[in-house]
Amino acid sequence: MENKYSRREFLRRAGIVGASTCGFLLAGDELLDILEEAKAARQPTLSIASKGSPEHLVKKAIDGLGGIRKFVKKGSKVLIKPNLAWIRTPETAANTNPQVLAGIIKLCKAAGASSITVFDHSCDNGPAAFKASGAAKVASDLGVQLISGHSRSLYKKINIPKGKILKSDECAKLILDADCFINVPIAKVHGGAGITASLKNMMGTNWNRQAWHQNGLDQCIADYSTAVKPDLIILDAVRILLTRGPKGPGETKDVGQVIASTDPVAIDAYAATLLGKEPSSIGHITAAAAHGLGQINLKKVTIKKV
Amino acid sequence: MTKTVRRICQIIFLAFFLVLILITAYPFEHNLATDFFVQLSPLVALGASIASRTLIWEAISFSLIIIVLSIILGRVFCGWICPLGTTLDISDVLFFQNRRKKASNSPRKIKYYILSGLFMTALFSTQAIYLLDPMCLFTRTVVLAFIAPVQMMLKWLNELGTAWSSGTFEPTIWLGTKISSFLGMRPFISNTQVYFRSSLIVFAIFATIIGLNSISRRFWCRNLCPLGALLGLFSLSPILKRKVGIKCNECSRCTTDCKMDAIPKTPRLTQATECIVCFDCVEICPQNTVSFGIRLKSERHKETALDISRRHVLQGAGIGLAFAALVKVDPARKLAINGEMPIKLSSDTLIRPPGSVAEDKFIARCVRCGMCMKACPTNGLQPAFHEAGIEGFWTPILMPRIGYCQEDCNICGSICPTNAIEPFGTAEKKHIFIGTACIDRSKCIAWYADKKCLVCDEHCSYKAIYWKVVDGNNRPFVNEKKCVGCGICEAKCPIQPSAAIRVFSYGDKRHMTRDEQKTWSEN
Repeated sequence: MENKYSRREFLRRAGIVGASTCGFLLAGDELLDILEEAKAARQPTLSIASKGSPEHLVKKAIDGLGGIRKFVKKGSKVLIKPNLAWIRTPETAANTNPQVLAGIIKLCKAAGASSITVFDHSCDNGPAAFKASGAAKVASDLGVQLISGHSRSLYKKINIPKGKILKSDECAKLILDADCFINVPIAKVHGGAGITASLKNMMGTNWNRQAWHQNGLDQCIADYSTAVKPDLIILDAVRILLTRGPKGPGETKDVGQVIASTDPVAIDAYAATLLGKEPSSIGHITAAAAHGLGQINLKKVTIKKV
Repeated sequence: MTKTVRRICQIIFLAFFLVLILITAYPFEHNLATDFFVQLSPLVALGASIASRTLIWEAISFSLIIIVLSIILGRVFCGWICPLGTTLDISDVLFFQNRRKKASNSPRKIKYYILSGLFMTALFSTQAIYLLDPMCLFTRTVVLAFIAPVQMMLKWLNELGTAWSSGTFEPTIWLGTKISSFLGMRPFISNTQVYFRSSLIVFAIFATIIGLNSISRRFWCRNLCPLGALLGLFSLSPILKRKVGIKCNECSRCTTDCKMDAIPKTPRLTQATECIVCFDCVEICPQNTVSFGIRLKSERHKETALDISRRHVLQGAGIGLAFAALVKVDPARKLAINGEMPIKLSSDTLIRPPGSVAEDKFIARCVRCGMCMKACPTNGLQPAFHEAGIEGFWTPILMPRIGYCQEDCNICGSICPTNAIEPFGTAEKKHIFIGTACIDRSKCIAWYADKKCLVCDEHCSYKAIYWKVVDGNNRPFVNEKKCVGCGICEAKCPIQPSAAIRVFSYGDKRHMTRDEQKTWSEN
């Protein structure tokens, strides 16, 4: 019988099989990651929910990303960071909508979170801002802790190895200790930073904000985000503030959307378009994109409308 | 028995006094008259009214209670109510019990001379009552010399606790929440440390008053307290009088034991103006023959009448006049009434809380009790040191770098006992101008360093900061028509140590009436 393969051919094939087996054994984890990424690529980056009550929008938006259980495992410690910076009522759109906040808390509860804490380091008097924004009522109704970050002892020093300007900072311990950190910004224009959404909202988790302004605000915002990353971002665009941001009172617009994502740059780029701005014109978004924190070009972003 | 009742009553009033001060905190939703104790003092009501030539009805109506009480029962206020008197009694038990000297002839007439001096200053529209009125003095002591250091100590405790447990356990938050939930109110011990100027001076005065107890019991009340003197005048012949029965063998226990030295010469007599109805003599009498009862006429009245010397009263008044004249030649005064409008400009950082009446009246009315400083949620209200001249020592000024005037807060106006800060609504604050912000372009990083900042614009609640693109960068400007001088921009400015945007007192509209201020802002 004639040999099916020549010796050379056999050796060649055996070599390929052997090498790929060895390669797989050696680099299996990375390959799995690549597979995972390929799978993730099919997942939407932005899940945009419109039409419905704010609580309903939250659920729809998160379901678009694969459901809350993907982020909040049973028994995990959840920290929610809304934007409750100002002593302003919900109508002025200066703080995160309390119903959006309520929606998230309810979902986390349903997912079996062991503890849920809402935290913000307000610009105004913390408790007063919590009360005016409606968050205090939501928290007490749903029985979750609401903590104001006005004490330095609540913060812990962190290193920011990738930071260009910020090499270290003080971040709220609660965020570092949480199993799941959910950032819940509201979309607003901002006198200093251009817009405020996910990346800028992170400023309310650190202690010394003034230093950021002195050292270069945009780069500091981006640097900080390389070290402290939310697991999930829910952008409140139910009503957005178009002028006199971030404190208002200014012109508002009822957009009626809630956007869920894990990509802070993409979600901010989208928020910028909602506010009538070009994402690339916002310094901290471009700086974050340069850090590789996400996709700034909305054309390359998978958007799922639900 | 009666002594025990009196002691319980004293403790209750002291506790009530302290609680009222502590709950004078933001947000002020209970609307209780927490300035009650300061308003109880007839000296405050009369002094501030005379000095400012205004009848301050709020204070007068409360103090009438005490006046009527004194006419009927004598100086019961001193013995039963006055929190400073109670503190002196407590400190006496704590520190001076074994060192008590035998009752000596007290220089107790001094207080009448002080009183005459104080009234003289008030007549010449200078406020000096604040120095010695016990209600003002003690309220100020609690606010400036106790709350801040106690909080500081709690903070140390907290840091110790955190270091020890290295968790997020916060004893101050914990304590504050416990106490507040007990009272059903927000934490009055906030986790934010408060700071006050001249706390040490206030404490030193208080410590001296306590220390004088080593000379005799209630040295302050016997000899110095001008409110005691005033109440003494009202109780020259009260209806409730001390009676000594026939069983008295003149053992003089009551004479030696009387903490006010109100039983002179013989135990059968009583100096009604000095007696604070403490019932100590009733308790101590071995013969059980001393009692208090209602008597309209006293046959011994003449022997115990107030024997103050006319010459010394005039001397006291003379010193008061000199005081009034001397503080009025302070250079700050000259600037204050320069030209037609009585604009004060003693210092460009003299920023008064919103609702403050015009400067001259303000200084005459403010009794420096410190309640507004206690209530200010941002800690921005501070006792003035030199800003308002000697005359305005310890009056409240806003120091924006320490704390700004919070947009939704109007506590200082609601609790001012003499209406030096008139009550105002939060909506009204848009046209209560207390100063104007001013940008120092050589310090502002948005101006000289081309940095992205605009924190002032971000925080401004009154849309008074606007920005324009100058040389390709956003630069802040102040709209002086809208800026009310709340100082949030100065408080939040990232430039250290003093801000690049600062609030100065120019542009305040206190010389205008409220309506005029409103019209001005609308035009």
